[in-house]
Amino acid sequence: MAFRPSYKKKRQNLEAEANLTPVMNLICVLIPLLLGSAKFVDLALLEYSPPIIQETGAPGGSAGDNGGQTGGLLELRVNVTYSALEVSIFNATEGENYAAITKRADGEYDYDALRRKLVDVKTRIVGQPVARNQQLDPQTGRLEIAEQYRFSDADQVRLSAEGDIPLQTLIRVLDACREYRTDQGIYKPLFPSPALGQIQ
Amino acid sequence: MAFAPSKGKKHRRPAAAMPQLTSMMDMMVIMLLFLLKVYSTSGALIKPADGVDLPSSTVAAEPVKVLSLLATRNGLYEEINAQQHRLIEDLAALQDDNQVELGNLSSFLHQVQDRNRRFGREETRTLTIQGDKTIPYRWVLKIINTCSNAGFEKIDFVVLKESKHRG
Repeated sequence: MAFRPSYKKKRQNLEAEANLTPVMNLICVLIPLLLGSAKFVDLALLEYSPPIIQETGAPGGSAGDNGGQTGGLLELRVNVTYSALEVSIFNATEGENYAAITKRADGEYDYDALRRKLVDVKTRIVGQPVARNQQLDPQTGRLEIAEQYRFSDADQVRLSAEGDIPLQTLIRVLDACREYRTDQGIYKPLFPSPALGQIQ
Repeated sequence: MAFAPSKGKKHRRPAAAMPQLTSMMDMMVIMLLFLLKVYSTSGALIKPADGVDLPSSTVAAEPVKVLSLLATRNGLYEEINAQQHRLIEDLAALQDDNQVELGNLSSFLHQVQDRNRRFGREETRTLTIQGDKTIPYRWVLKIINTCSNAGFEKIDFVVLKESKHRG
């Protein structure tokens, strides 16, 4: 014979509802706090330090003048004209050390072509560093490895533009000159020290 | 004569009105997750000024709060805060091609340096420029020349950050 079912089992199951009020209070405090520290517009600084430029003689010099010697000058120039981006080294105004990258069909400057040209200059003309020295960074106070190249201005680019070229174009050119991405996906510095000047 | 109230209604207890919090909780959790994603420990040190359409760049350097100039299509201003600006150079001075240095800006920068020295503040030789993306290069060059001649060694441009990996 079966046992008689217990009376307790007949008790109605009450629906247990979680008390959400403290959680809501916490969230209501957290949301204004996070709203205050949120950055909806992401700003950055494009740092520019007007450098001391080493000048050589008259323009028109060739790669053979001082190109192959340690401490020579590369004198990389990028001129932004209304129709093209002009890249030159060793103060050349024509020949193999000069290139004019014309605007694309849509009227925009070809920044990718500019970067490719600068990468070519960096790898083919500047080449690998000839020495690596440890030096103290006066700003950070840390020891840093400084690479020395065949050219003493191997990290500099002299940038100039026509008077009415807008600031956005200048920033894009600076971006193209600053770094490049290798095939391995690593970002490497290209010519990170720009010097702005008048167009020549 | 009124009907007698039913016995069922007579004994029914009035249920306490409870707001339905579950849907509200869902919404709050989504908001919380979104805000946690955009959370920044440094906060917004620089706010984009009104009326300036900033250029975009792939740089990643975090902005710092230093002396700030606003270069707009209408002139050059000192930024007091995001809404308040004080005119330093008007359009005529910026457009004058015979002028390679901006007189009012130069005297303003010297005043700032003097004031910092007088109050014993650490002399910062850095300033930031919030420049409209459409301002011409010759204005930029004039401003940089003037700042450089006034002893400022670092002149940084405030830009909108964009992804390097684009395209």
